[in-house]
Amino acid sequence: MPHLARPAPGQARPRRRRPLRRAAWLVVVVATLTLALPGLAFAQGRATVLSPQEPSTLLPHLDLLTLTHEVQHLIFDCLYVVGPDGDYLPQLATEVPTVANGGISEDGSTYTIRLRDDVRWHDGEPLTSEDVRFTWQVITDPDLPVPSRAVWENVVDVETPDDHTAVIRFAETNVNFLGRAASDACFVLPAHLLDGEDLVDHAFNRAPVGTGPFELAEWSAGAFARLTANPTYFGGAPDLDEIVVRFTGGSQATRTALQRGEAELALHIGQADLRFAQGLSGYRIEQGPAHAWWQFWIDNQDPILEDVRVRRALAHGLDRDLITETVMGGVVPPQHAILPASHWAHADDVTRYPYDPEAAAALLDQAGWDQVGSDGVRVRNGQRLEIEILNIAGQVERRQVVQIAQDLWSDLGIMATIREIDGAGFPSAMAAADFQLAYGWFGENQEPTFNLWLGTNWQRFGDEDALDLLRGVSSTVDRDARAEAIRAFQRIVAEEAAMLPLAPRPLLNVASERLDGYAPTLSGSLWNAHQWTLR
Amino acid sequence: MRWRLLLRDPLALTGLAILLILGTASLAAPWIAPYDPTATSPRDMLQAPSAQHWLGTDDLGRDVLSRLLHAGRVSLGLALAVALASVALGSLAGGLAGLLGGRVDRTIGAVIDTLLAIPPLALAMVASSFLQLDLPRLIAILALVSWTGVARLARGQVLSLREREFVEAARASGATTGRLLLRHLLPNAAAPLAVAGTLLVATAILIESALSFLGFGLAPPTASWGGMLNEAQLWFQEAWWLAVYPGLTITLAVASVNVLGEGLRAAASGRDEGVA
Amino acid sequence: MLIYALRRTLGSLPRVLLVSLLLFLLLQLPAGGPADVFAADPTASPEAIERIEALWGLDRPVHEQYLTWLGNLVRGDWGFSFSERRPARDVVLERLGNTLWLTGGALAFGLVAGVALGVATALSSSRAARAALQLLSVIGMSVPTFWSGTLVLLWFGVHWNWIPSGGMGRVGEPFALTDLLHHLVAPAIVLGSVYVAQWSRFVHAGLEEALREDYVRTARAKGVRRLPRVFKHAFPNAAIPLVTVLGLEIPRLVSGAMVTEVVFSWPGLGRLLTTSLLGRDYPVVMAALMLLVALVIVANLLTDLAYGLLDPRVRYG
Repeated sequence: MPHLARPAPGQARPRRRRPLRRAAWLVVVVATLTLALPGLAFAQGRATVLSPQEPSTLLPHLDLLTLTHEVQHLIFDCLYVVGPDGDYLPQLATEVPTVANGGISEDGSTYTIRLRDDVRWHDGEPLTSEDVRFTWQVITDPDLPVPSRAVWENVVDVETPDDHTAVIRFAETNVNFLGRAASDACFVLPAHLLDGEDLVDHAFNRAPVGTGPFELAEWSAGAFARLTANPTYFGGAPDLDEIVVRFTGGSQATRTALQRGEAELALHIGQADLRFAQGLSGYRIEQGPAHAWWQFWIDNQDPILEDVRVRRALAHGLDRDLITETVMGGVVPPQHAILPASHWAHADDVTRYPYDPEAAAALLDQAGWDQVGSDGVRVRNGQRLEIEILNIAGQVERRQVVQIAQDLWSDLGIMATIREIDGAGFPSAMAAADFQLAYGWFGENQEPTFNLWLGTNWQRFGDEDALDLLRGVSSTVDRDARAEAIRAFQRIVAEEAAMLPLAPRPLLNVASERLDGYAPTLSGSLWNAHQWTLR
Repeated sequence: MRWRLLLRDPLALTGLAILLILGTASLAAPWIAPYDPTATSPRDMLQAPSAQHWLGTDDLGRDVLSRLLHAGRVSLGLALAVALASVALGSLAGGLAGLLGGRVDRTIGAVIDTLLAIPPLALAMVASSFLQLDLPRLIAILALVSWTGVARLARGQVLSLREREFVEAARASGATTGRLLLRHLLPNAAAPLAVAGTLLVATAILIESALSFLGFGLAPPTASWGGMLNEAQLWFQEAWWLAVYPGLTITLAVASVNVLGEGLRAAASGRDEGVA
Repeated sequence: MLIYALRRTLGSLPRVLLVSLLLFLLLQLPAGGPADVFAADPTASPEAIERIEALWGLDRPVHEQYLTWLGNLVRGDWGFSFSERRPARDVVLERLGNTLWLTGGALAFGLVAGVALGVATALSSSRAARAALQLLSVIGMSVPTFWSGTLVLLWFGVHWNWIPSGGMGRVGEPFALTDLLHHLVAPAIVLGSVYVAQWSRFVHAGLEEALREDYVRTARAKGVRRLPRVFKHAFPNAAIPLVTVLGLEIPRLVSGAMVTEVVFSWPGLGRLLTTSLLGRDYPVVMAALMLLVALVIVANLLTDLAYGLLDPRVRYG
């Protein structure tokens, strides 16, 4: 058996003097050295971008996170993007197809796209129309976990008559293609590297090769991604040498980094961060366009909420002004229609429900909830008026609004409780109709697809006539006719109080005064990073 | 238990006094809290301590003092329940293991070893992230990660007691296993078990607050002290009172329980020093 | 000793198996599964989710999933990270080192400061010093690290700009040891300070006892100087209770590290566990948990071995 034995303690020879003092000095010296390291001496021409979340993959179309799309814009390009004025700008294409220039067929079912001939992938291979075809195949591949195939799944075929022409065919008129191809589903993939490969666990996920102005040089999980300039970018070599995207994991670290002046741009700060950001010197808050808004989903077939009077009472009981002016930082107005005012198809003349507790109480009385228990909760036929609000856990700006709403509705005699759930569980709870009210945000494309109503319909809205208005939209070429149908639908939803819109959700970025050329659009904040300069 | 030793321990007495004050104030919260802890008033958000709001207001304009008092009911009540449940479960399991030995002992030992190998916070996080978390479930989760220490203690106590004469006598007179354990063995191990239980209250407060801080706590508007810190994280720089008071309260409560526990331990072992 | 270590390692295997089973079952609790992450976009159809579940084998019965997982684990395949699109093993092993730096740093600070404080107070042997130590240790045990960590970060990091604002190194710079240490100082001290006073009390108590022992008195009579006497003769005995308590504290130290990582944005296993739990990346959750468990078991083994190094009476047989 092996055993251990130390020499008996008494055999020690005398030590050098004062080992303790020597050790103490060593500790002091090391500590001073580490603490006194020079602060910030960043490389010239580097912009640091703060992102609250980290992409799971940089292979386009496999990750639905908006922040992933932001970063992907540095590495990849789209056929088109949305420019600062809200117009489409060609990126990989030479021009934006229209009926007038022959790019779109008369019936709106065929799109002919001419590609630039000077585009090269980071590995030197030229971009071809085969890449566009391959991208469509990836997005619609049933064996790939692609979160969103909208519009692309209606494509019948992508033809490649020559290297720089792609013809996209739909079975019928489709007006949503341009909007989709300029939004999150726009990045073109390299067929020569990925065709025939298994993409789910392909190394490309973490070592992407694109056509964009920057190339991924280093990705330190949980910390940052470093991207270096692509000097041969077809849109002109970037002025910056490097962009470092730092993944902060949340508001707290973002705030600290901004306060210490460690970043040129902070992406997607929360409305709860506005107060803080307004007090920063050397930075400006940029409100980018986004057709997104906060709302309360209502289960229209819930036994209590199927009564339109109860839904209207909830709408009257929600003080939108209070919420937008306080916890939303006063940068957005209240929203009444189900498309925000920034959207071209927004309807301004919908029924509004101003904050009016008395009107709300009267509506509840009419609906039969006219008894009030000793605890102040309304009762109808022995049933208490209890409503549960589903909320995604862990986000301050959601938690604030939900608690205010809960408090306001409690004043009406509604026993509102909050159920919190993680972000991943939220959609499945909603899809299973396991909710009464739910708080969250939703975004629409420039050409709205109305998946919120025609697809998921978590709110179980059953007015088929109203839904038919939307069903015709994607095949209506005339834009005014589309707008009229969409507006009519918004009026019905507001009249029925089938959904409770609260306020727009703007894209809020904090940019350094040193950063020039930064211009967020519907295509995101980083789409033109090659034009950025640092003062 | 030598209570006189406890009475001569100023630190333990201070701890006891603070706990009594915190406990009474929390219990009386509905009557003494100046405001409704859930009444929001967003236009009064983030106000510094003043005559109206002694400890300031939070990000929804709610009174921090009122919320602290009400949160005390959650934090202290929960910790107490966790400690009681852990002591009950731990002394039963440990007692049985010590008394019966053999296969029972090995099985319980294996379960304890298994649980001890998992960092308690990790286990609690996993469990609470997957359950619709309410108070009873949170108590169960925290008891699950806390009972093992008590079980080991109880087993040791029972092992040392079971050969004693009075146990032999009880056994000879035909006492059942349950009776033997509940009537004869555990009461004689009450002092060390009580000490362990007291210290568990401190651990439970800390784990609960860490869980809440990481975002795995109870749903709003129910607040615990840790939950208050979690909700206020974003405003720590602009509103120091949101960071300082809940944190101080946690520290004060945990420290009080700890010194009281040490005092009890000293009194139980009959030594006049808390040093192990 | 090698054989002892080997046997202990093998002996802990059933425990690891039990732990893995327990955790795997826990992961079955939530309604919905990892595929939900892909449904977070309301445009994903139910068919798409089913397809993803089939792709990842999530539609098979639990026991089958567990056995598959276990079999793969043995073969070195720890599953595939849903959220990082690469092997879970790569994801967690990348973080393991970071957690070891943090716990190691905290342990080092706790031990050095604890021993220094313990020795100093034992030598002064004043009642006031002992009382102060007791009070300090109570405070150390009672301050929640997430709170003290946040305050330290706000104060020294943001307000005075003395320490980095979190992370393990300067962003985008090549790795440098001094840079890492610079970032490590604050979180290690915050995490380690919990134990300083507590451990110093063990050193203090152990030393006081040991200094009264005959062999130390003999050494004194032989003219061995004071400090060598303490460190060479009395300390090894005094350290035994410290090592015992160290072994018991490891799970709590790891728990503490998890919280500290979150506060200081330290990219370690704890922070990974938090994010992958929220993102329902179960293969990574499992892998991270199993690594944490392994960390505890290995640390326990090491303390047992250290025990033997310090106490000549211990024989591994």
